[in-house]
Amino acid sequence: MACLFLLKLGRQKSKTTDMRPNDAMTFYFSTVEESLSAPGLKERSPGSTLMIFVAEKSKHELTRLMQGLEERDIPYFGAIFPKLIYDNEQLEHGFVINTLDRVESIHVIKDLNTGHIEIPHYNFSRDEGHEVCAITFVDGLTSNISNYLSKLFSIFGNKMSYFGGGAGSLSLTQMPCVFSNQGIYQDAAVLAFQEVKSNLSVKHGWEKIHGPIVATKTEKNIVKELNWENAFDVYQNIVEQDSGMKFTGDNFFDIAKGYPFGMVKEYSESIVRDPLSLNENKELICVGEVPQNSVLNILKGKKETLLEAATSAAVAGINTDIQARRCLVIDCISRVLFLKNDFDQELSNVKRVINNKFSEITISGALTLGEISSYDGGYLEFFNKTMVVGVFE
Amino acid sequence: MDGSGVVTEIFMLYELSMAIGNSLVFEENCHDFLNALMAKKELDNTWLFEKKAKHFQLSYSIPQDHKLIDLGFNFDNFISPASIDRGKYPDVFDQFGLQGGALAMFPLSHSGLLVLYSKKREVFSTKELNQLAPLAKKFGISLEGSKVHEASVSQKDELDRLYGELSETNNQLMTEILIRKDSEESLKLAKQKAEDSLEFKQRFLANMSHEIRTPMNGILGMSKLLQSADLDKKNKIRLGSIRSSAKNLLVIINDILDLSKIESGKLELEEIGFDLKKMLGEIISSVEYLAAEKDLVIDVEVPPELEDLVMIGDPVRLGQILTNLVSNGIKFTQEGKVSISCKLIDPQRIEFAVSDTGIGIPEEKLKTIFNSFSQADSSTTRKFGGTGLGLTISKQLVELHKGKLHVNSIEGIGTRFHFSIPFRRGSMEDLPVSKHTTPGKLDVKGLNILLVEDNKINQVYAMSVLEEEGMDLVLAENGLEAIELLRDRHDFDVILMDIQMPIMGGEEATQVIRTELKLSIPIIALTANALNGEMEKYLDCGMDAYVSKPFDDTELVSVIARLTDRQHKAKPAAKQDVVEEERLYSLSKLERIFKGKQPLIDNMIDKFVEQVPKDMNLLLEASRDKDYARIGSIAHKMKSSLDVMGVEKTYHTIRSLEKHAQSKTNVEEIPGWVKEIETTLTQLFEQLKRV
Repeated sequence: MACLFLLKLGRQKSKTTDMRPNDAMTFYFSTVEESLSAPGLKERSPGSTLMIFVAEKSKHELTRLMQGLEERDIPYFGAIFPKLIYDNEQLEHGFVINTLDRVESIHVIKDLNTGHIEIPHYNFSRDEGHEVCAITFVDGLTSNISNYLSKLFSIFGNKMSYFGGGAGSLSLTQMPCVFSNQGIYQDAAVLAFQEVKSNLSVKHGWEKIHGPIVATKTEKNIVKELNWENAFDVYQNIVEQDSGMKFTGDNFFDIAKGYPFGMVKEYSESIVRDPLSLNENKELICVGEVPQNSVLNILKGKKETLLEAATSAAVAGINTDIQARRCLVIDCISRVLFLKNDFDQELSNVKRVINNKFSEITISGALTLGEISSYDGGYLEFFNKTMVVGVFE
Repeated sequence: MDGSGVVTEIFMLYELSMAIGNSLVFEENCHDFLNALMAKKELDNTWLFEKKAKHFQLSYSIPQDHKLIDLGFNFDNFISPASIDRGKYPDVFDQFGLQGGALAMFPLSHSGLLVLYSKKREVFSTKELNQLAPLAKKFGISLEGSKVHEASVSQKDELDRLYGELSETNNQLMTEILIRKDSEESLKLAKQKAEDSLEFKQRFLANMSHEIRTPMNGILGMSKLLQSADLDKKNKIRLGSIRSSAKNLLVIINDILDLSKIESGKLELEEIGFDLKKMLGEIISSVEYLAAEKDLVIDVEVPPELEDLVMIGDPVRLGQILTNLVSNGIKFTQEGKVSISCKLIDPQRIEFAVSDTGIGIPEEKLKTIFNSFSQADSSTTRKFGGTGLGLTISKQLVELHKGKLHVNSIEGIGTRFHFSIPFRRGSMEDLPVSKHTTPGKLDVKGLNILLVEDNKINQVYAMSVLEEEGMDLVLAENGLEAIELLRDRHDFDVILMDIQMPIMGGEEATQVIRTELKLSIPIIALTANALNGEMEKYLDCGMDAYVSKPFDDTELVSVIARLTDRQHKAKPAAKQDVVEEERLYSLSKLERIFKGKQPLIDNMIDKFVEQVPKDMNLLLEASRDKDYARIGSIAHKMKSSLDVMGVEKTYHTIRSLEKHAQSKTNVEEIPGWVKEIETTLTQLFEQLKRV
């Protein structure tokens, strides 16, 4: 029986929890050594694959982990995220590892920034009658993420579900952050096809305070003009009026994190785009692409609506007849930054809802730079400031 | 819906419409719009079809649909946007493989169909269809634009491809041309090199010929002078060996030069009339002494039909072939005979054969005997001498005559060489008028000769020969010295001019004498440059004759006599007395023409005596009148009469008269020439009267 050392991150407090690996084999290890010596990993069923989430602060240990796994001839894929989620806690260090069965293939799609994106082939005929989930982690700070996802969806459409998130550092400095047995890469996506039933739900809870406005000039993730005027001038005018705060040159994100854009969709919540920073032309740099001529609203977050959205995402997640063995949560790191101490509440709510139906499941996941899913099996999107709850068989 | 809802919808429609037509590439255009549409409208599938004759063919879909290639059912009902549910159109849903949800059909302009699918909807509302219809129409039009663009791109691609192929072909062609050009260049270079090398060989031979002939002239000349010296028997034998060796060396040099000329194509056959029988006779005469030494009989067989044949051809080269073969025969025959025969094998072809009863040639050697420097056996050279070039030269000369030299031989029995060549018959008219006077009758005594020669031995030899004949000799060491001398002295009868001399060569000196000093003193080139082209060059530069070194004393005296004979005619009457004694006419031509029939000959003489004095009177009259045209025409008429009567003395004068009268040049000389002709004719008629 392996002991797992769980670090209560942020509060610099660690605790030892006597846990056995659950049926779906979800682990948290604070160190590489623990990871590599864990009996659960060694005893994993033959042919299964490790899905590894690495906390940004443990990224220096990743090479050792990869070497160890290579030595043991274990297939794996994963990404580095600002923080990890295990059970109802957010963790700044360590590794969350899920062992996945029936992973058909793992691919690395490189050089996303060049726009030359080639989606690997997947043979559906082999999985006739089976459901497939495409799990993909992408360098959250690269360009062409939406392009990659739309190409993915163009090929596979709603014949599979999509689940994943944007990897990278909270410092917003780009670095190699997605990996597999092939190596670790920047400007890339790792993609694994798993034969598994899933139910995904997406919610953010951000509400419109102004709009519609049109992103009349954009370039990938840079919004240059809103309503044919300088993007920041328009944005500043609205946000300062609503918040009563002033942009002073060094407090952009402090204010902007509460006023994201929402790309308008019919029949569902808008797709949130987080303005991260300004460039020298006073253009807004967002996480994820904003297509030119997109209709946007300016959104505002309230603690209550966000927490409520998280809970309703979990509720939608368990609203399935599949026999769930695993629950993965991809939640935006900006929600942590916005909710601060109340974020634990969000995770506790989700845990409560999930365990209410699937008591044996330990929630695991990551706090990400953008979230990937399709709305209710519909169109595949890259979200910001959103929670994706995936319930897997 | 409240106002802001409508605004949002309008904004969304704006966004969707702005996603149309952003690219002319069909795939990108579809991708942009259909992805935006699916994202905004929460659609699960979109398909785009193109209408063909009896079905709709899938041209784009999201996600990519490989199974659904085309739709066979009748879409003619869907002429306007429509929502389709499974209950009403189960076959349509079956066609798409769908269970529930709703389909929306949008007919596009230019025979297209856009199909949208939503799993969640049960129906697309009329409002939604109405919202999307203008977008679909706009999208349809933009797709047409894409298709037109792609067609033109495809055409351009095709053009590019064709251009590429053309360029490639061009490149290949160019490469080939370059390769060919290279090889052409190489060939040109090789040709140039070969030509250079031939040119070099020619120059080398010309120089060598000069270098060897000049001392040979000295050796032969001096040894000839020594023959008349008082030598004991032993030294006379030695002297004989020296002369024999020198002569052999000269033969070898001549052979090599001949071969070189033939091989380089520089040897051109002459076309002059000659008497075949006479030529054969001369060949025999030239080798008789060799045959006599071995007690061999020399035969000449000329059939009656060829007895009087005047052949048009090159007697020198034909004679050379036959002399080679006959000498060869004599060389390899110890007893018996050597014969030359000829016969007509058809009216334009004559065969010559030279047979001997000699040692014969082994069969295996027959193939190689015509090769250069090849004799049947190397021991042959030692035993019989010779260069081994004789047969090679003969073979090539025969080929130059458009014939082929054959050989039959049986060892111990004898050898027969034979060849046939085409020929042209000539007449007596074609025979050249003999310009040679018999050396024995020459009177060159007292002539003033200027010898221009730098080689001391040749100076001594020439002086010995010429002084022996009673000529007065003045020596100049080079062309410049000769010119200086000639500025003060014009009384030389002949100038003997060497060609290659230091300071000023013979050609340059001649030009100065002719053009600057304006002297017409006959100039004889003494040259060791034996090649044909050289000779012509000397004559062109103003010389009157040439004598090859090493020169034969009799030949040199003969040439001097010929040239001065002409000069003498222009000289004062003091010397004419000597000439008066000579017969001024020759009947040989008339005899040949009339084959010795005396009555006919007499008749011709009568006509000559009757006609020519009349012409002479007319000539004198025209000369007085200075009617040069008439003078020319009378001279022309008289010329042939005088030639037929063999009046050599007027040979040049009558021609000069005709030429200059017609061209009205040197007219001041005309009275003199007329007078000269008159004088000669007066004497001639006196002689004829005596006959």
